[in-house]
Amino acid sequence: MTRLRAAAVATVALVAVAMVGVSLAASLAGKRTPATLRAAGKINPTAELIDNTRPGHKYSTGGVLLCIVGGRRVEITGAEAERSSGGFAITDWAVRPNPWARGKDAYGGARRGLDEAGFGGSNVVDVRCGSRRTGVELGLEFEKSSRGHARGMTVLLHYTSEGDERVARLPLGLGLCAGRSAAGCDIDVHSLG
Amino acid sequence: MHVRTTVALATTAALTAAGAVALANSGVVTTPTAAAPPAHDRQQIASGVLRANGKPVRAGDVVAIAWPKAAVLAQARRGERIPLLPIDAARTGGDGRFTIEADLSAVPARYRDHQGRVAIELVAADRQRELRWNFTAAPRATTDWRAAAGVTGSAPVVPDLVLDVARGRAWDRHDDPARWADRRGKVLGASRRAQAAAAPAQRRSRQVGTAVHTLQAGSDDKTAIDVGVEPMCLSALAGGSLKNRKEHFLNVYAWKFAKGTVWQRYSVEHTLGIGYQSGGSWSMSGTSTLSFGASAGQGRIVNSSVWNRVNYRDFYTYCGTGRYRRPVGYYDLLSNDWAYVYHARFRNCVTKLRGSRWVTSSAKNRTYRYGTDIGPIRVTAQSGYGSGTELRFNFRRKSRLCGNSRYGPASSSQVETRRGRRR
Repeated sequence: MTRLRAAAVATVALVAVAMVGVSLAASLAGKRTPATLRAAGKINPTAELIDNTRPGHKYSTGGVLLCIVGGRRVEITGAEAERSSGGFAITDWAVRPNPWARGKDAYGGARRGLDEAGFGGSNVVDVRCGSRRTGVELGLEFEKSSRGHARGMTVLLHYTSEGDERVARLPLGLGLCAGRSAAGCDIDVHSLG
Repeated sequence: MHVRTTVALATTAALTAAGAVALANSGVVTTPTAAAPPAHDRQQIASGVLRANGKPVRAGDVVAIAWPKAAVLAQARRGERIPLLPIDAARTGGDGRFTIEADLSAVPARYRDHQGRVAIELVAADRQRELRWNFTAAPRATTDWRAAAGVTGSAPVVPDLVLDVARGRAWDRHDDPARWADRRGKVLGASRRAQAAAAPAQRRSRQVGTAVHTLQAGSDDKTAIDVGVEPMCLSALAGGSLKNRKEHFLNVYAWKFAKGTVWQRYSVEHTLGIGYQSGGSWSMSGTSTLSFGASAGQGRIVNSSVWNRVNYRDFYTYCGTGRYRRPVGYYDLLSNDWAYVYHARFRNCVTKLRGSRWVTSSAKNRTYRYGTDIGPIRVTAQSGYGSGTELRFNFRRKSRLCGNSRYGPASSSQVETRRGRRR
């Protein structure tokens, strides 16, 4: 009986020492769980098209909430459009606090850059999905280099978290149309998935 | 924890048995050579809880019976007998819960539409009573399209049913009647859930036992005749057609300088209510999901409901006195049935500049409680789930675009446009 008790005590002691060791190793390594960036809600494939646009001019839009899952924060380091044409390019990105949480309208877009639209320079997302603040609003600035129609299908956000580099994909289409006619300047939202 | 019991039924075997029933009806009796399908092909197609006056029913029977696809139902001659196909049966556990499984790919083509979907009727019964509820089961490949497309959260899910055989109520937890909309687009709310969930409950018919015996015959390698079932109980009789019934597709809320345009493409799914008459009274008995295989668009819409025209048909039961009124196809898409609707206002807005356009593809439209008028009653209509519904707004002046989701218009199932704020 005494032998059994001694064996049990020794096992518990060994397990405790092992746990302390693992925890010490983790803290020495300083590695935290990286966060995953995602849209705060379930985004339906959506496209935004602006008529009468000019090459080299800045345009911008917003109205999409982002949040994180898993870690503490992420930093958005880049944004690009997939399957872009007509010299379409995303030139800047920023986030700001969720305006809907304060009863205000979000940014719907304009023929100007993000700086003039009230977005600061923040690229950090630290609001957890499901929290009261819901998320932060993403602003995107873009332009085209051609005189014709230009568009980007699906937005890719590059971000880092705890040293990891990752990409988030949003089913958003952006179009810069030449002239007023909708003909020939459209985005098939069903292909944005 | 529910217990799945009894008839562990290989679908192919069941189908073979049902085939034997059909042959027996035509005067030919054969012994089926059943081959059990690979286990991984079976998928859960429904689950739920069976209750009586709110209390779980223990050892109740739940059978799943497949109906032929809409094209077959539409083309049947009047008076033609339509064989139905039992595909699974379950016995409820002590908590009243049950699950229904099937290998949809093994179901004969006559019962599967072009997307592999199968119209299922669940008959859930305690010892005295039964309740009927219809839905459409989709194979995994179809239901996962949104996940495959990288769009999370809105894939059709397996029905999780609440069936009360004593009160005559049935609803799917994933399509709660409390969230259905009335004609004006207003949410019904919890207080009207019970009324909206009314479903046909009646005295237990012989069909439940027939289906169970047929499935057992298949699993035991016997014919339906061997176990003495009544094949006629697994049939329906084609009745008259009701063409050109109005289906409420959606409401467009817009102001005159940001009008809406609706597109529905051939892939749009329409989930339409099924009427069931028993003992002289009508109620809704679940839904059937159809794709119409056609496209249409309408533009310049301001505060209007948008409608399709659909065709229904009556079917009569052999065992019992029931009459079904089931959707079988479409008559006209985006028909000229515009009706003014009150401009619903949503809270989460963005301001859109003049000369821009905004296009969305809604994952799931609303369920309209009185969406389809099929004569004696109005049943639900819901469209979406397919990728083919498209709503767009053309902003000719500065406007506000508002959605019903706290995550904004891009995440909303309903949006509206209105005059922009002045600075």
